[in-house]
Amino acid sequence: MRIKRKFCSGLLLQITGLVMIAAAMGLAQLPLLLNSGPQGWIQFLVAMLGYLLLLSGIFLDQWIKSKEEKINVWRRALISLLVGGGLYLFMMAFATSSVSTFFGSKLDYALIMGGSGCLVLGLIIRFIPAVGRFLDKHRLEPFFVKGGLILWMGIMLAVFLLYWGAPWGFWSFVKRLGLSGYLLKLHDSLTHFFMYY
Amino acid sequence: MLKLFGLLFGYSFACISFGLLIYRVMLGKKHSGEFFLASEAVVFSTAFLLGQGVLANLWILLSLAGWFYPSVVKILVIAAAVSGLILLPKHLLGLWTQIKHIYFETRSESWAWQGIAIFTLLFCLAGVTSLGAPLLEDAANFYMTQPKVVADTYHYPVIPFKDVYYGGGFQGEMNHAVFMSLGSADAGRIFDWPTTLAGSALLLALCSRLGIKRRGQWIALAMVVTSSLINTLLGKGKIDLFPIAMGLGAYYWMTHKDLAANRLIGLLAGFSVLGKMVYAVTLLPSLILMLIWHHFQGDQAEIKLKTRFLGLIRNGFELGIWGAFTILPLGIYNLVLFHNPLQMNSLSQSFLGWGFYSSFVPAHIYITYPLYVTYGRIRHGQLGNLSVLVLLFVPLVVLIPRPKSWKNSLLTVVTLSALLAMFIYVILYPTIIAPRYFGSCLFLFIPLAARAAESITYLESRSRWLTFAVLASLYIVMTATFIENTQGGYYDSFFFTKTISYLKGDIPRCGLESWAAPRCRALSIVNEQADKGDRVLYNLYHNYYLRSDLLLCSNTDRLTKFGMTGVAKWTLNWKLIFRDGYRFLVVDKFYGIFPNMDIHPDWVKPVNIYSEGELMVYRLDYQNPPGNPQISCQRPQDGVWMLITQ
Repeated sequence: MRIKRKFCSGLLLQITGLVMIAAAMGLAQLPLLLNSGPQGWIQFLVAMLGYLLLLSGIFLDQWIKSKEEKINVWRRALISLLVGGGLYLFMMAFATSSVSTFFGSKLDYALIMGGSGCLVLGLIIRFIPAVGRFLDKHRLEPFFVKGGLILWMGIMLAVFLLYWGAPWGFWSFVKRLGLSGYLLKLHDSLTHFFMYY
Repeated sequence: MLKLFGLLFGYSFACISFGLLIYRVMLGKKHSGEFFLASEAVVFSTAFLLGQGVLANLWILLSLAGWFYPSVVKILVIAAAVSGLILLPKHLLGLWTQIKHIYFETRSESWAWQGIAIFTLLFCLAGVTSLGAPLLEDAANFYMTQPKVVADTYHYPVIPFKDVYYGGGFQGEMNHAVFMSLGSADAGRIFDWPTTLAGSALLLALCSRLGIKRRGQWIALAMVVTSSLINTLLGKGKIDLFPIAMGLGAYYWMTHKDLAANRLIGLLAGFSVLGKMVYAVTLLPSLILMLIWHHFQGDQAEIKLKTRFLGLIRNGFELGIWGAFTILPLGIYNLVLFHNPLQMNSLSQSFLGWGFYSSFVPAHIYITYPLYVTYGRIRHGQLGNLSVLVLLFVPLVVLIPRPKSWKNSLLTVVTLSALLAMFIYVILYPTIIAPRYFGSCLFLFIPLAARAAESITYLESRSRWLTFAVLASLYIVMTATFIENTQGGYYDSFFFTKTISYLKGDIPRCGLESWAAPRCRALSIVNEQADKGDRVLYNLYHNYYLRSDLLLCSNTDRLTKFGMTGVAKWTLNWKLIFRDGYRFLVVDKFYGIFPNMDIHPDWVKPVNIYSEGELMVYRLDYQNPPGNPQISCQRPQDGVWMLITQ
């Protein structure tokens, strides 16, 4: 009964959030979308879907909590990272697809596959106890959590250095390593993505 | 150099002293014990912000009345400095004790964390070298130009072609104006440096209120100093850092339950809005959310719901009254200048459809908004982001111990307030991705990230790898940011050699400028040759370098109005130019097509007195012209320069 009550209140929150997001996105996009044709509407729907997924993640977390199970800190962190990260990768896929001329469609597929994979893995670990026990037994949970967090920091740091590092001799350094070709391409892609004229 | 730093520290001292008095008055005699817990750094930072906020309001009223004379300004600044002297010794002693405490606490850390502390302090001190920075974008169009005219004319006149800036706030401009009136525009330009430090101190105090320890506070400070939102704007004549600091002050005091804090919150929030009107739309909802939380959190459970509601209404009312009282001068300002107390140019024009991209909204920006406020480099006005360290450390949240109750967690409500404010900003200003328009609420994400990073290093099941990653990230980002900011570029902030050369007199003022340098040189030539009240016809955007009288006497119509139709497309209508009384012509090809100067009647001789790149300056010599000019520029006694039609 208690689980059901929490479930309902979580659902109410979700619906309220969704109405707010719908109003927000509608307000944000409407004046400008009127002139931008069907492509703009598709982008709008995609954006809506992205936020819907994000909210679902929050809702999912609420629901997991409502089950009032004692799960260890590493497993909870791993599930949060996989579900949250998966959803964000999903949204990134939609984001990059709107500028796919710069990135190419391979990246979209990679992001969608990666996002789906993370999401499904997160749900499997949460809902199939045997998987959780297996991870626990082999002490894999801390390894994956720490690895995931360090990977995130590494990627974001790399973007920062690749993108902003250009003025201070970073490129002459990577040229010496013989990596300038790939890195420059990546730098150009990032520039196209973040510099909006 | 002595004058510059003397004025900077002297005026800062006056703000602190006067602010201490206001602080004391605001709290009243019967204030609760909780305020005694506010550290001395908080008291000094709050006093500094309160002092400069109230004084800026005083300056605007003085200038609107036409009494902004240097002698009056000096007397009032001295009075402000003296006003709180009696309160100072006790607080100074407390501040010294606090500094010693922080020093010993930091010394007990490992060398790696001590290094982070030293590095962040180096960043803070290096801010003073933004003195060698060029004026950034519209700083040379309005934010330094208007104060210059105010200081020179003792009034607050409206300068042609700057309509969009009026009514959007004036705190920063009046801070610049007071330094110009006292004799140093440069001191005014770097006044945002101590203001930013005060805002940062209050953010760290906010972190402390959220249970973040010293190590986390150093991480939070590292996040502030590596934010390009700060570095891009520091010392560049822009005014965005003032409302950010004021907003952070309001957020800090909002974490207190004490009723007396309402007055401080109202004042600081009001000053933030007076700094930039757009802050109203993010500050108010987030502060209201925090206020509601105060009345409905767990420890209020025993109080009746009705009583809580009444308390909320009373607190909200009191906060609103103080906020409204603070922004009253804006109504007076609008009434005097535009005969409409509710004129809100910048806010209303920005609402919804208006923006940098009028044709369409890039959906991918919304989906990746956290990335855009970190890495985004949107042309036309993004001007700085939140530190990448925030984005790096936020996911570490999954490992911090969960609060006993989400509802009672101050960190949760602060983060929710930041989310709400950002969300509202995105709704209202979909096309303007500019963190400087909601900087104070964006900085509210810092405590969460700092708490997460700090927790990792204190975890019982401590991970050496994660601690190493946190430390390495801090060192890499700080080093890269520091080096990047010393490259001498337009958006950089640390100009070590240039500042020293400028202070020694080896570099002229125009030498500090970037791409506006030719405009500075060209207008300096006009300043030398023009008589008082001469009219200059120009199409320049960066006109800070022009003398105040020439600015007020300049053209009120666009240059295109003076083109001849039917003869040749860009031949000037010399009769019209003569009729309107112009003596100088400054044409910047960057802003339009260059006129054909070879075609002109015999009675006018355009003498080229300066040319550089796309810029041409002409003195217009008239010999036996047809008739007399119909418009002249005169200054009535105790008035401002104005155009007189014969």
